[in-house]
Amino acid sequence: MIGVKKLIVQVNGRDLALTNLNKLYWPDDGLHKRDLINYYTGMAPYLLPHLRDRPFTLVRYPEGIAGEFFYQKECPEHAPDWVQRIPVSVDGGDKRINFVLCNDLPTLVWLANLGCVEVHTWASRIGNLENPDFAVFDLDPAPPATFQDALEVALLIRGVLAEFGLMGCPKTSGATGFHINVPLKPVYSFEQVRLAVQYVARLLVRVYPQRCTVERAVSKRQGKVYIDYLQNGRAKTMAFVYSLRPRPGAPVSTPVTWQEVENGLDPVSFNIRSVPKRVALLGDLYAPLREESSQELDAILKLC
Amino acid sequence: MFKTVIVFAGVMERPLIEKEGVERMRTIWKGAISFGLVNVPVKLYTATETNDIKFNFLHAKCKTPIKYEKRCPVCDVVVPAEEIVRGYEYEKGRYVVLDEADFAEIEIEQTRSVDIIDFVDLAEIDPIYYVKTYFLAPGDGGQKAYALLRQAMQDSGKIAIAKVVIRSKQHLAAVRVYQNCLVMETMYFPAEIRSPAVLPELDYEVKLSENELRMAVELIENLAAEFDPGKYTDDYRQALLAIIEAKIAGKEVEAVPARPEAGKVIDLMEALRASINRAHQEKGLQPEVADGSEGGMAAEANPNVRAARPDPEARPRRRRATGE
Repeated sequence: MIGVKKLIVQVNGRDLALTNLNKLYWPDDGLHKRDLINYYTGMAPYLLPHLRDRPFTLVRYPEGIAGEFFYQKECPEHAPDWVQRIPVSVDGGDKRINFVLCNDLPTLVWLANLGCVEVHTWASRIGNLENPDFAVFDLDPAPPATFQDALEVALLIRGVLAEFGLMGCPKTSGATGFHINVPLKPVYSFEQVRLAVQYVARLLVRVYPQRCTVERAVSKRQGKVYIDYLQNGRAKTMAFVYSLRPRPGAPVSTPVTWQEVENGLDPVSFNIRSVPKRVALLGDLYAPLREESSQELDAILKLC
Repeated sequence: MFKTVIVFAGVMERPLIEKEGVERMRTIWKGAISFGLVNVPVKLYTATETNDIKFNFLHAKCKTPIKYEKRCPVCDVVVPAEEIVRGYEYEKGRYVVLDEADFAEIEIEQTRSVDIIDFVDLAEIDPIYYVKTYFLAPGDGGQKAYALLRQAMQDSGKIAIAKVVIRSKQHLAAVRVYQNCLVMETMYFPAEIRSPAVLPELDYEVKLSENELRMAVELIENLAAEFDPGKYTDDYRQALLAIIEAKIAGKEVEAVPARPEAGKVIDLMEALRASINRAHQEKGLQPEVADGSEGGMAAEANPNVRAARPDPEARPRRRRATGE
């Protein structure tokens, strides 16, 4: 295959032209575009149920992670006919954007071939587009606070959620941060979800101001873990579960168990090579987020 | 009663300088010893250190290190270093400000030299004069002159009395030979030494019998020994270290918030629970009781769910797990 510029493959009956497979994507790790496509192809059984019916934002790195990248919400014009699209108004106005829905393997492979290193989607699915089916706690340690500090805050958030009868699913961000996704019954507005997450975040800041902050000014976060509740918004997207990250070592945003969080973990160890083996062994730790949840936010919203 | 607690946060035993060589010591001053027409370039090092156990002051409630701030009470702001100047209070509430240039001016005139004034016998100097000891190491190109001065002082048995400026202050100093090194003892000026005549307790007379005096002298002679510094250790410090080590071993340690132990997480969890309960009370609500009846969670297949599942067992189990 060396030197082949273009490779026509058939994926589930769809013809796809894969291009520049030998282009270096992670130059320091010797990982090529074909490794990117291989990863998403192998992870498809775990990833697709999560992606189903969510407006997809393309984050494209046509020249690899060292090159320029761009966000693309509108489905590219040259997309094959069989790529599903959904017209959505991002700001609630008349203007609609045709988002891609990544509901099958050919679409996922096609997106990978476009250089989509990262997977970004909405927190809601068509049918309930205005009602997210999960809430996000996005924890970002600001130096000298460390990843370990983010884990500590994550454990406290787990405890607070349990107080309200809620269960959250932890995952690495693939970078320096940590995420907790809380599966929700899709009946709340983005605003309500944000309010609930904001309530928990402020509760933590009040009790543990030494380590927690909701301060928007980066300069004021120093040494603390920033609890970003604003990620809970309409059309907000962030690195999705099992998304590769454009960072050295090709890390993956990886679901972990709370036991692993308690024991401490190294986010770099979850990467393009290790995660496929890990999910083969452990299955999809994010299974609770695949199907519609019955978890409700009423207990928190009463206090907001 | 106490607003602060003190917690040990230092290294247990600070290695002595000899272990890793002199380069670990910081030159605090470079200059020259000058006497007559001879100039001996030297570098100054601190010769002694205080082995005090370092404690940090913490806020007793949350165990956070206390922050010290330089505040201006009039402007009500924290004053950054570059906005701090030195003022001399020449009469109550009135200051004349001296800036760095003013200090630098004086230093240029007298600095960078240990000016030897006289050579005297060491025994003539009462220890009350001594402040602090510095090593004088030969400076660049000064090895020969240094060796010459050292040998000459050794042979004559004399020590030098000198004046030196260190950190904007002129000191009286004694330069002498210690092992193979020239050392400088900074000294108080005579005007800085108080007279015991001011002590009212000493203003009395008493008649001593010869017998009593002879017995006291005999007692002293019985206890007379060679001075062996190795014999003397800091008992208080060692007792304190023993307590500290026992507390660390027994986990009776105050964790700094930066790296809380598992116990800290539980404490915080209690505080979070209390905060939630207060919020409920303020709203006139009953706290929610998790019923553990979440559906469709695939709990069996997913350790994630099990670990976080809010059933009534969850809390004690979590405590055990984090408390290990």
